[in-house]
Amino acid sequence: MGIKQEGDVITYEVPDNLVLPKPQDDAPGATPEPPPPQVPVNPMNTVTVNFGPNSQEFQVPAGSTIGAVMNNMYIKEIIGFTGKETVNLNGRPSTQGHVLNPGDQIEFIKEDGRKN
Amino acid sequence: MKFKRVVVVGLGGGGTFLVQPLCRYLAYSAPETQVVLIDGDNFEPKNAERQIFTALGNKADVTAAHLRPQFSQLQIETKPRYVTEDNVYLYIKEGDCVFSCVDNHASRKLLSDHCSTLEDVVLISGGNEFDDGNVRMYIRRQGKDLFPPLTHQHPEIQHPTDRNPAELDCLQLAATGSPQLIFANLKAATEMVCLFWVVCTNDDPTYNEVYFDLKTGAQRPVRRNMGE
Repeated sequence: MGIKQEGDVITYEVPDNLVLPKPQDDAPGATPEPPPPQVPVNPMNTVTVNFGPNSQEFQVPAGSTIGAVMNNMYIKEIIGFTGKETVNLNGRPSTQGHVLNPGDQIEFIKEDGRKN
Repeated sequence: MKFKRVVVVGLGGGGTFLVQPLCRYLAYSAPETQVVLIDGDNFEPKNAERQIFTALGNKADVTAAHLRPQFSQLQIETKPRYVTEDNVYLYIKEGDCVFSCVDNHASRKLLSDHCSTLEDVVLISGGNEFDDGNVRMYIRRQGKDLFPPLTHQHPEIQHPTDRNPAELDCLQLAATGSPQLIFANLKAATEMVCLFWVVCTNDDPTYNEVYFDLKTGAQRPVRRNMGE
């Protein structure tokens, strides 16, 4: 590091590779870092899906409709409905566009057995 | 609830399993009950793999002949005919408990529609596919549906694609057969008599439908009220 003086003016030459220590947050005069940005979280609702003898709870994103459950291949595979059945919500007839609430009971009505 | 008459429609895989415990229960708990067996079909040797019979001939008559010596307390009557629109009002009457053990939706609709014209009646219907099935109970009391008819929310019953066996010739009847599992018939019959016991002993049954699956062992009772 070089120091030059020309009359009353003193000049300091700062080397290119100088590394200054990171100021501590609690150091006097330090500026606190801003909090990380909030990532939006999509809350999940628990609903029960019934078909014939099968019944199981599933987590679905809040705002899901009956149609979304009806077309969900994972739920369809586990419960066994085809997606063409008459559908009840909490024991009453409903439609595919109905938005689900936590605790809702969906039933896809299984056809009667034909033989006996 | 007490019944003057218990009517069993269909004496194939399900019906022949059902009548034994049903008659035994009635003989010792309500021997005054009249039992009516209805079927227009005949037992054939090929039926032996799933159905209980001791002779060939009309299913209602043969079954009644097998039951009468065992349950002499009961009056067991037969109607060796298929149930049709022309005779259903003669066979199913006020106050009856009807067991539908038929193998087609056209007959289920016929029985349900007729029961809906009566003031007080109970209709217990069973059906199965190869290894699963269900049982449903329709109750009318004082002219009102306590539980829904078989056609309610079941378009396959409301608009059946099959036909009443009385409308089919022998070749068509033979062609309607499909593989069945004796244990699925037995399970459906068992759930039917269980529902009968429930309605005999409870004015407000906790369930009126039950689904079962023999593969998984899953079973689910449902109470489906009117308006649902």
